[in-house]
Order: sequence, then structure tokens, then C-alpha cells
Amino acid sequence: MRPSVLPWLYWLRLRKWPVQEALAGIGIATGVALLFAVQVANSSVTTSVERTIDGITGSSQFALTARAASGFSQSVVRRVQAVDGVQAAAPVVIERASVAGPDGTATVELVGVTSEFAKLNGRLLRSFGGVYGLQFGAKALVMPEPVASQIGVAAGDRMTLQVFGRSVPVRVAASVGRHQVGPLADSPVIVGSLPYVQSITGLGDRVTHILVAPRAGEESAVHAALARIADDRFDVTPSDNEAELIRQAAGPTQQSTGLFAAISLVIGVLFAFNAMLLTVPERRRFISELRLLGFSRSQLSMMLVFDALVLGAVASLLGLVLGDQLSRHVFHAAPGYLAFAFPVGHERIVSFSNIAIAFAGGVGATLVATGRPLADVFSRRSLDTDYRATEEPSEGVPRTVRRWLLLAAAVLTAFAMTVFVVQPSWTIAGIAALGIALVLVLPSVLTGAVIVADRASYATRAGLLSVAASELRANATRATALAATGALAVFGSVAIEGAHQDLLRGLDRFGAAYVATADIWVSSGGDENALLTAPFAVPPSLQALGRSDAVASARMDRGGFVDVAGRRVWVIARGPSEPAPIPSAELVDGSLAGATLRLRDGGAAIASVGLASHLGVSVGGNLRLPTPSGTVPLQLAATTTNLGWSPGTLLLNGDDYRRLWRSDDVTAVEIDLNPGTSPAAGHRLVQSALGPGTALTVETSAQRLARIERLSRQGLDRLSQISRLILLAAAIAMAAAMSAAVWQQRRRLAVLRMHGFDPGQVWRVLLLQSALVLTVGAALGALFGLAGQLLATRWVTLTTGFPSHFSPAFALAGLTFAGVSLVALLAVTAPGFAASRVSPALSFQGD
Amino acid sequence: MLELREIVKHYRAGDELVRAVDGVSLTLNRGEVVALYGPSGSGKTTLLLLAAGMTAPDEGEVRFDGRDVARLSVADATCYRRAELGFVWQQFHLIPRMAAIDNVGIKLLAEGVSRRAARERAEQWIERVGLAQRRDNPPERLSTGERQRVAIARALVNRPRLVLADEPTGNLDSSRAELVLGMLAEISHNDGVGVLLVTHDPEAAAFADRVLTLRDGKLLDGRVGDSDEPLAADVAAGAAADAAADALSKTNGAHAGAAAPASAPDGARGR
Repeated sequence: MRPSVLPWLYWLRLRKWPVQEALAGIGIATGVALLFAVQVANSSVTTSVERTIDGITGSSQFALTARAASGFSQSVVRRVQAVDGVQAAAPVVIERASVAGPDGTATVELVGVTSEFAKLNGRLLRSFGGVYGLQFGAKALVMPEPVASQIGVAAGDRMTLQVFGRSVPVRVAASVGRHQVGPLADSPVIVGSLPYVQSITGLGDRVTHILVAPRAGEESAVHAALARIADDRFDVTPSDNEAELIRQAAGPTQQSTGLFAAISLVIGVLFAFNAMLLTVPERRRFISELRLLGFSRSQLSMMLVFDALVLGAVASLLGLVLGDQLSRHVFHAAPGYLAFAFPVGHERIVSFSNIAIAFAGGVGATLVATGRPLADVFSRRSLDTDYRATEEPSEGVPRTVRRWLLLAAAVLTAFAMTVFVVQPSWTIAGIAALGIALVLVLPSVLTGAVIVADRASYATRAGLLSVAASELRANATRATALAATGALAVFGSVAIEGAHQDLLRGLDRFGAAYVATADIWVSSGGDENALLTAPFAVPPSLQALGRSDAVASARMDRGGFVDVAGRRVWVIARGPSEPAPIPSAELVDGSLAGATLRLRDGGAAIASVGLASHLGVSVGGNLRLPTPSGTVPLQLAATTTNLGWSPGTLLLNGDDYRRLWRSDDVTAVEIDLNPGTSPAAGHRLVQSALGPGTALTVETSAQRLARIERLSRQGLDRLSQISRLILLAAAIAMAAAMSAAVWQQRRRLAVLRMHGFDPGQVWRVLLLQSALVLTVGAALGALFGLAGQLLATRWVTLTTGFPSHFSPAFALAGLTFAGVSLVALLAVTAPGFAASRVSPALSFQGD
Repeated sequence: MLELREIVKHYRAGDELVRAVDGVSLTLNRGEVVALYGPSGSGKTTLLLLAAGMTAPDEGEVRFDGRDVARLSVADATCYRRAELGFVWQQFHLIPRMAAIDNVGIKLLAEGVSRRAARERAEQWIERVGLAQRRDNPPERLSTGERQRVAIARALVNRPRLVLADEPTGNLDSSRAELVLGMLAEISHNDGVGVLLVTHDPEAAAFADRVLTLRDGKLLDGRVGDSDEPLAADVAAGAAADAAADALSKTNGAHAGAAAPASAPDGARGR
């Protein structure tokens, strides 16, 4: 057989079973779309930060980085420049800030640079300064056009910059767009001259970074000299350290979304596999025909592989197009929590590897789904068995095979549960085992359900139920394929969404415990400062409030981000008088009372369990914390969950923090109201004390909790989106598959019509059999989904370290089960109605 | 009981209008077996469909006990088939993986008979066709002859007055065919059931009380097997009609409504 014949043979097959081919294509395309969109969304987050950092750092290799937002003296730069081997050293201020215009606010990275910066040849300055000739003496800022447009300002306009709890009016020198600076325009970076930025931030002569470009061959010597200059009061890091940190921070969430996207691709494979199962008899006959015509098994294999490659390529291309749209319109929002600590841009970045992985995944999945037809080619069935078949073959799974499948399912389920108990790090394998077990157990469960339905038809006068059961028995393979599609969709959705709900509950619980310690919270900025890491000086008006009759007490909280051993760690340092400095429900190891006592005494820390493990410290041991006063030992008093910040969390004594960070600035003020003062009245009181122009945000504990809940939902929304898309894809695939199955069944429906069944009865038979298949599939999927949720929650907890606890999502499972059943049943109603009106004369037509 | 008067029926094959049945008249009485003999494409199955009320003639009348079955509504046509008719097909059309006795009783479920009652009634017929020992076996475990006996039991379980049999022995060897046809004839005579038997097999036709030969849609006089010549000519004609019927089935699908001239004549084997 010449290879040139293959396309023609494929065309023949396509003409014969276009619906089956379309169904298989839909399944693969859906999986590819999800995989591609999730990859693009994930890589866009990290790549946008990398590009921003690269744009700032240019050719520099090292950075002296302050350990506190207040930075260090700019005079250090002269010492750095004096180091032998330093080609260029640029002092920089990089501060998280927000800008407000008439149309809203935006979180930005405020960057102050000098002419030295130009020597580093960073693309950011080259682009921003090159296009608009940034004046180093100008008292204005250059900003990206998307940010300017978001807040409603243009060149020459004034806007309000909020930083360190201060509101400063600033002028926009220019806004630069994508057509001028390319993708850098999507970086949330605002640039100004260093003196101007120092003045508006109140940093005076302090800087946060010194970027250093060593001469070639002098790197080691320069690094050593920088370490001596830093003297353990600030960090010497690679200048792209920020990019490494975000990769670490985003990793767990990206692994989670990546896992769930991979699950969706597996489900896509099964959709395709099921679509092929739908035409088993026809395909067997087609293969028999070709074999009778003299085609060898190797030729047929070549034909099937060619078919799979064509289908896989076309479906994958379709999936890429769909995925592109998904990434633009559904997955476009970056997880908001990453913006708390990193300059995450809005750029959508599609890399070659994104396309290659998704495409290869789709084609590979199609090849896997070809397994069944290939098995037919190599089966030992006699050549004429199918060809001479005078009626539809019985397709049931033999009883002995069902028993083996059940046994295999039991082994796989036992493996999954063992993994859960003994080896949680293998949880992904456990989830996969559960999914396979679900498919293996379906033939037996479906057979059992058909038997029950059949017996029920004896007990009642529901004769049509008996007919429906008979039809299912006669179409066992198709019925199993349909049930498996629904079951896997419900399984995947319940497992993913259940784990997501567990996560949210855990985060909500921590949020509630955290904010419940005060009636009113005062902090700097908005959403970008949800973790309360932006420092501000307490205004006198706020200090005076302590004497108000309405206020019982006010406590100062401190904290921020500290880079520890390659992780950007969230430090929470509450005052010694804090009634509950450790959220009790989050405690993992150690005694709550003892740890609280030691924290209040000072010199101790509570670390998240993942961070403690990363640092190799156990409770009672000492961890070494880099601070602006040098690296200090702190006794680890207990471990907790990571409180929702995956890189890790540290709880410190507020006084320790003030001493070590050498700053009186706070990051939040907690205010307790006296009995009789409502939160709303307290809110008004504090707000009026701060005055209308304040850059501080006043919230009641309920308002603050609502903000935290909103942000945690937004951050994890992608998991929900994936689970919803799986359901949607399953509903479409099932509706299409069921419609096709109903259509293929018309010959037998015609026989029923010939026997005197009226169209209404035939329709009811179709609906009953569909309901039976869907109910069994979706119910089993929901049941396994709960077990999957158990494993997924465990896996997510282990991977992200989030405060998550398993709570069986019965309501979710019930709703998903009902939803999938109902949607698919509704979808089959119309084709079922049409098929039930089949002419009885069809029963007289041959094959 | 069944009367076809001057029936004319056309169908379209591409641009061509084919006269499938051309002025056929016949009657069938209770307890009588009438064979419609002819090659493929001669119009036999079209006549069967007309008798079942599944397609309407372009000219002429089809009457069952005086009722014009071509003018029945869809609901009445369903009732007519349910109450008065039984069907036997060449390909049996039994439901796989369903016990023989349930295959026999399934038809009764359309009448609203309970499952239990349907089984009880099916039991009598399964015994009558000699398959009492095989009653719980699904079609896959039955021989082709046994399958057709199950199909006959199913056709008769509702005590129809007319059985329409389309090539009932087409898939059987001669000894099994003889058994099945003998059974049909016996039941017809004993129970007063009229049987309209469509066949292109002269030996099958020989079991009938009367044999009507069809060629090119017309009823011929003369006996089956008088000479080889007519049969050879019939086969040639049938091949042409097959091609036309094939085209018809592809064009019109299977929606042979009661009034639409899109019936599926015998030989429409393309789907």
C-alpha cells in the first residue's frame, strides 16, 4: 500500500462516521485547550515578572538589596563603585506603590533611577527614557499606557501616588504604549528620577537596591567585595533574584493548576476513546471488509495511526485556537495574591514550549485512544465474524472479565488509600489510580443497575423500563463509554472543586481568626497590601484616638516580606499585647500556650511547617533570620500552616521586629472599640480622625474579612474555572455522544415501532435508558470524586502548604451529579424525540 | 381480511421515477399463507410495507377488514400494527443479551401489559415453537433456526390476525428453513392467522397456499419454478432495482411517512 493512499482511506472513513470523528475531535480539542490555556496563564505570570526584572536590571549581575522597605544609605554606592572590577553600579529605589486617577487605582512598582542606571543598558530605561527622554531632574513620572489608561490619566495630568501610607500628588511625564516599547508596556512599572522618587516616598537619601555590573572575569571578586560591604545588613543576590523568587512563590499554585489541566487532558483522551467505542461494531465491520480485500494487519495499523495523527493534529490545532481564546477571556487574570509581593504584569506570553506541549499532548492522546481499534486489528476474532454478522453484535463485557476488572479496581482503590495514608507525596498517582478504578468498576455497576431496573420492571408495571434495560444490555459497550464520560467528568470536577472548596474554607478560617482580633483595622493602600506588609508612620491623629472614649485599645502590627533562603517569606509581627498572636487552628507542631508565651517574651519565632522544613529547623531549634541588623538566631517555638502564603510565613514578636528592622513604622493598627460603640461608628470615628486626604485605609473587621475572602477566591479561581470547563466539555461531549448513540439505535427503534410501540413510548424508552446510564455514571463519579477530593486536598495541602482540611463535599457532589445528569438528559431529549419518530420501515432495510 | 386493489407505487431514484408496484391487486384470507415470490427489486417488500400501513399507495387502496390502512393517522397505524400484525424479518431483529422469552414478550409491553404477564404469555409461545428448554438463552446462544423461531413466537405473541414475513428463511439453511416455514404454515392454519410471505426462494414459496409472482412491480400468472428463464430475467431486473433502491435509501433516509412516497422497497440494502 502506498502512503499516498492513506489520505483517501481516511476520507472514506470520515465520510462514513463523521459524527464519531467530530466527537473524538471535541474531546481532544477540549483537553488541549485547557492544557494550553493553563500553561499560557501560568507562564505569563512568571515570564511577565522576569521581563520586568530583566528590563530593570539590564546587564547587572549582582544586586545589593535592602532587607527593609526603608532601604539603606545611598552613600554605599560610592563604596561599591570603588570596588575593583565593578564596571557600573547604579543606586535604585524600587517600592511597591499604588497610583490613583479619576478612573481608578493600580498597583505599580515605583522605580527611581539615576544616569548611572543607563550604563546597565536595561531595556526598561532604554525604552521609557529612550522614547521620551526621561529627564533625570524632572519632577514627573513615566508610566506604561495600559496603567495610565486604567486609572484615566495621560501625559501632563496629575495623579495621586500612595506609598508608605502617604498620598502624594505627582505629574505624568509620559505614558508609553506597546507600539513604542513593545511588551514592556505591560509591565506595571513607573519610572522617575531617583531624587524625585526619594522625595515622594520620603526615603530621603536612601535606596533599596544597588545594581552592579562587574567586569568580565571579575565576578567572584566583586561578589566577595559586595558581601563585605553588605556586612550581613543587606543581601547580595543575583540581580534576577526576583524572578527566581516568583518562580518559587508561584510554583505550588502552578503545579496545582497544571495538575488539574493534565487531568482535563486525560479526560479529553477518555472522551476520544469513548467516541471510538461508540462505533465499535461499524468499525469492526469496516476493518473486516478491508481485511477481506487483502489489507494486511500492518497496513491497517498504518492506516489507523495515520487516522489518529490527522485527527490528533486537527483536534490539537482546534484546541490551540480554543485555548488561545480561553487564555484571553477566561484565564487572563493573574492570581492576585502574587501581586502582593511581585510586579506581576498583564502581558499574555505564549511560548513555543506552550504550543509544543499542548500540541504533542493532543496528538499523543489521540494515538493512545487508537489503542482500541488497533486491538481489533490484532484480535483473534475470525475474519468473517463481524463481516457476516446479521445483526448487531452483543458487546457486553463478559462476566469473568468484569470480575477481573472489579478486582483490578479494588487493588487500585486500595493503592490510592495506601498512598493517602502511607506515602502522601505519591498522591497524584493515587488520584490517577482512582480515576482508572472508576472506569474499571463501571461495567459491573452498570450491569448491576440494569439488572435492578429489569427486576424493578417486574415489581411495577413499568414495562418500558424493561425495554430500556434491554437496550442498554444490548449496547453495553456504548452505554459504558457514555457512563464513563459522565463519571470521569463528575469525578474530576468534584475532586478539583472539592479540594478548591477545602482550600477556600481553610483560608477563610484563617482570615476570620486573623481579623477577629480587632474591631477596626487601619492599613496602607488597598488589595495589593492585603497581607499588611506596606509600612507607614502612624499619624499623630491616630495616636490621639487612643484617648477617645470609644476606643478601648490600639495595637501596632509590623511585618513585611523577607527573603530567606531563596523564598520570599511573609513576616507577621504583632504586638506583645496581642490577645491571640498565633491562629490556634493553624498550629501544626508545638504547644499553643508555650509558643504564645515564648513569642511574647521575644527571641522566638513561629514558622510555617514548609519553611521550617526548608531551613532544616525543628521546634525548639534555632532558625537564622536575615534582618537589617544582621542575621539573628530565633528559637522556633512552633510550626503552623503557611497561612495562605505558599513561600512560607514567620510569626515574630512586634517589639523584636521593631528592634531588628530599626524602624518605628507599622504595617497595621488594630483598634478595639469599647462596648457600646458599633463597628460602623468606630469606622467613622477613625476615618474622620485621619482626614479626607489620607492614604490609609480604614476597615471594620467584617470589611477586612470580605476583602481577604474576595482575594483568596480570585487567587484560586482558576481551579474552579478548570472544573467548570471540564463539566461543560463533558456535557457537550456526552450530549453529542448520546445523540449519536440514539441515532445509531434507530434500526432497533424501528423494530419497536413495527411491534406497535408508539413514538411516545419509544421516546420514553430512550429517556429512561439515558437516565439510567447518566445516573449510574454521574453517581459513581460523584462517589469516587469525594475520594478524589480527599486525595486532592491532601496533595494541594502538601504542595502549597495552605491551611486546608478535607471536608466531604456532599452538596457539591450532589449538585454536580444532578447538574450533569440533567443537562445531558435535556440535551438528549430533542434527538431522542426525533429518533423516536423513526419510520418502522427502517426495520426492513438491510445493513 | 387484507385486500390490495390496483396498487401503484412509485419511488424516486435520483432523477428517475421508478414504478415499484404496478397495478397489483391481491386478497389474503384468515388462515391462509400467501407467498409473494420474486427477485430482489421486484416490489415485494414495498407491498409488505403497504400492507403494514407504513407507506401509502400512489393509486389504489389497501384495506384491512374494510379499513383503508393507508389513511390511518400515525397513532392509528401504530395501533393497527400493535393489535393486528406480527412481523418476521430475515435478520430476526432480536435484542441481543436478552433472554429468548423476554424477546418474545417485549412486544406486549407496548400494550401496557405488565412484565410478569408478558412473560407468562410469551411462555406459551416459546413452548409452541419448541424452545421451552432454551427460553432463558439470549439470541447469541441460539442457532439461526432457533432465532427465527423466537422471532415467529414474538410475531404471534399478541395473537395478530396477519403476519408479514420478509424473507424469513433468508439466513437459514434448507433444513432449518423447512422447519420454520412448516411452523408458520401450521400456526396459520390452526390459529386462523393470515400470513403474507415475501421470498425469492422457490422452495420457501412452495409452503404457501397461494404463490403470487412479482416481476417489475407487476403480478404475473404462473407457477414458481416452471422454467429457469423468468427467474434469470428477474435477477437481472432486480440488480437494476437494487441500485435504484440504494440511491433512494441514501436520498430519503428512513423516514417513510404514511403519506410520503419514500418507502424502502426490498433491495434497499445500502444502509
